[in-house]
Amino acid sequence: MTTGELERDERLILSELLNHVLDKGVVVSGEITISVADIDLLHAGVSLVLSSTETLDEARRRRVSAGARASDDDHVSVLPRDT
Amino acid sequence: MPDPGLSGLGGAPVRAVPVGPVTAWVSDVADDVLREPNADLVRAHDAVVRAAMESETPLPARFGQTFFDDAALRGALTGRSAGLARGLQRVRGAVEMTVRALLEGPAAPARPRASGDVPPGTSGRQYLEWLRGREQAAEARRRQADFLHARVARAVGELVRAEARASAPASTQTLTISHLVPRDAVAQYRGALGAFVEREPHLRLLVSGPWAPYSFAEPPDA
Repeated sequence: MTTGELERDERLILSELLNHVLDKGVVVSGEITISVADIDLLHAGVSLVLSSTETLDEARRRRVSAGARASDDDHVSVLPRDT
Repeated sequence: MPDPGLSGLGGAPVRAVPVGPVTAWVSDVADDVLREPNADLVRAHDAVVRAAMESETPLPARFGQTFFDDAALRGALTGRSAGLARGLQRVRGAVEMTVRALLEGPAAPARPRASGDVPPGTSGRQYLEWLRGREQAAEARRRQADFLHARVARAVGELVRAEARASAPASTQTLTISHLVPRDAVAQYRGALGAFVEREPHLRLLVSGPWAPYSFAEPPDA
């Protein structure tokens, strides 16, 4: 796996995070600092990944072997998994 | 109650502010911290939400909300605390799982904003045909999304307590559905989706989670 692919998978995980944290959740304040204009772009990025034939599995193995937190494991997966 | 060692955006300790039947987890943040938001701040927000998940499923707040002081926060929450307590009841013992599927075919073209979208030299009749073609593409995509949505719903069946379909713009080509899944059913949920894509070899799904119930934090009728 190349550095570019690894970066892409990290971006995908980040995109999922941003989609949840910036676009959803309870709103109690009228003052929200963050614009979510980029959310559409994030969706488009997910489309690109889903249409490719690669999976996240290799990136995940790398992260785990590099000592990443266990909670990262299985957080984002593309089905079906290539074996 | 937040763990004494838990810190929020910018490293300030997270503390509890009780308001009627609910408790808000907050941390003090300097004026300039949110001026230039970045991914690390978003991760810090989600980390606090995840810490809360360890004891009880919270209603996660959307990122970036600030109040002048605790009194301003109490004022904003007071009128809503009963509704939020009902929300907490709704998500109790559950997590959010999100599934995205790619829709097939070309994206429906964006809504025309200006005549600049139309190729130069287009006649009135060509323009109307072009408009109709766009409408048909969008309609086909909507039907495909509805069809796929129904099949995903059947695949996960009784494993989910509630679902929320995101209203993604037609141009993005993805169907996004979030499910509220009991914590002890997450493995079964993943298994059900895995079996589903094995039966549907042309499909690719992106499954993420468990998340705090971001998509179920507001009342369903909001």
